[in-house]
Amino acid sequence: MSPRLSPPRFRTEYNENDQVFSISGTLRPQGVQELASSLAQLQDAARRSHGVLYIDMRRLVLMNNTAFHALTGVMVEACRARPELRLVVVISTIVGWAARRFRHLSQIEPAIAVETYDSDFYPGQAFLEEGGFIPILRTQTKMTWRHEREILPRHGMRPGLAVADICCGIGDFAVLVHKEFQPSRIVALDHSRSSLAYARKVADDFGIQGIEYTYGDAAQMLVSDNQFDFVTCRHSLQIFNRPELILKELHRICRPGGRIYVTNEKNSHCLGEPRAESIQWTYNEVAKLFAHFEMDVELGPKSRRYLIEAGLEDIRIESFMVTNLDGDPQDFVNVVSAWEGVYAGDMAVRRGDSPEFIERFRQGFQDHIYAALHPKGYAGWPIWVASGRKPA
Amino acid sequence: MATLAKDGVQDTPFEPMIEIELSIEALQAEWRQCDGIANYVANMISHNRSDSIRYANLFSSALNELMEIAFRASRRLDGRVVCRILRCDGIERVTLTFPCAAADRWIYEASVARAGAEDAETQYLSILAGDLAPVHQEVLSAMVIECHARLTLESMDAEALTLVADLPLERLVS
Ligand SMILES: C[S@@+](CC[C@H](N)C(=O)[O-])C[C@H]1O[C@@H](n2cnc3c(N)ncnc32)[C@H](O)[C@@H]1O
Repeated sequence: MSPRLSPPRFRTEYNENDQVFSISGTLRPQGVQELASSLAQLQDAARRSHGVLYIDMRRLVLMNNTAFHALTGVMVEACRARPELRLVVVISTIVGWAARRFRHLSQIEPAIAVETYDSDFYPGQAFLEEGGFIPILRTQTKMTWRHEREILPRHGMRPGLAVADICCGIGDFAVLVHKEFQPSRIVALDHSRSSLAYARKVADDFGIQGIEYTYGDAAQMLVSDNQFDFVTCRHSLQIFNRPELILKELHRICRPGGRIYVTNEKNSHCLGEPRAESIQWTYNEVAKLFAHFEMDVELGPKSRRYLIEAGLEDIRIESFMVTNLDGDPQDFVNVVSAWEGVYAGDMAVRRGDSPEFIERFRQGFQDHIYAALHPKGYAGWPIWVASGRKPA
Repeated sequence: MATLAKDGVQDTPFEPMIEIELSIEALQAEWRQCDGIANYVANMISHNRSDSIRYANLFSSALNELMEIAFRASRRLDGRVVCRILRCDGIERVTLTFPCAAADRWIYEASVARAGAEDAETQYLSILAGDLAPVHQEVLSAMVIECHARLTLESMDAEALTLVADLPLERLVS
């Protein structure tokens, strides 16, 4: 009986300029002949490469032994045919089997090196994944939740949905959703191990069970298609240099008829009185600073376009302003001073800004704090919420 | 470590989770089903693991390999494969019962023994390096070396063999 033909669920691609051969998707053929053209492509890539050929398997989700055997066979053969060639197999730390399966390769062929590498999904990763951001996130969510709690139902949130929070940070939003909306399932994914460890601890401390925290890459999740009724991605599209790739994944894991919900900022619209000018100058500079690192913290109002272009329908968009008058002004102050710490203390330094610039830059944050604490002052941080439905 | 079947495997405190029966003919006709079933089962059993999504990915990888062995093992198309998943703490037990003539049983016995032998890692490396070995040998050795699986065989009756794999994957995911 001949196997029924169905479209392959993997892709191979050779980028000759960078000498990168990449394989992505699921590779579980019944027989090696199903891979013939990909293997030939790899052989060809090895013939045409000089020095080092990279074999990028970061986005390879699953692979069976038939494929593993065939691919590694071609790699080993290529090295033996051309002793001057080196192969670097690049795998992701997220995909557990890959790290295990490939780790022996260099033992059988020293010209093959295996590297785990997924630290450059987006340019500003280093600033946002490490510990410094954790306190910001915690206070931010506390303040935005006052608004989002009421906003979410307008975007389709209701009890009993299967929810995924992608780029969940320290997972506090997932905890709040879990308490308020009793989802049937809730998955919270992030690529920061320290944030996830924190998230698990918080959930444990509160005795909350049932939130599925997972370490992953929003640009290529291990989640299968059409799983969730409500997919959220908060304050995160704005930190990727190619937000459309993330949206594509959000779309993929969302069930037809389900909704994708995103929140984003427009930093240059942060405001305060008194000292409006200094505040405005600094937040304009924040936007430029992020742009320098290829992040668009002005994305908020553009989210409608992004959602439309991602193929969603029934787009709903609104904005809200977190202010010093929402609860304790000190919360607002804490957020701003955490921003100052990371933006002025870390990112501006990394960009190579002069001490004079940094001083003026810091002053705007200080003035924002001054406005927040001023008895007649007003300080605000605007946020855009947008959602759209995946066509049924 | 792999050992050959001993008495008492059934008495362990493993809790049954899922049992499915699959037709070899249907699987051969639509190979992709194997992938679909492995993923489906993996998702079902993983939700209460500490990282459910990555656990499901790793489990699907292991389960699919084992199922492929069972499907490829049988020369007859009219047979059926029974797959059971059981759990005891951090370990998942996969049992696969597949048609296997009494005369062919030694093939699997030898492979399970080799996969769990003292020098299993050296043997595995030489298989990777191109030493001729049957496909199921490569897979079983990989299970032991890469997933720390414990493998055993049980023979239920003259026509069927059961491969039992204990997979301590929870430890590997975190
Ligand atoms: C600005 S924070 C927002 C966190 C959270 N949604 C909140 O509102 O508090 C961005 C988050 O995206 C995460 N992240 C960055 N790159 C990622 C990737 N490729 N996959 C998954 N998460 C990623 C970071 O670790 C960080 O927690």
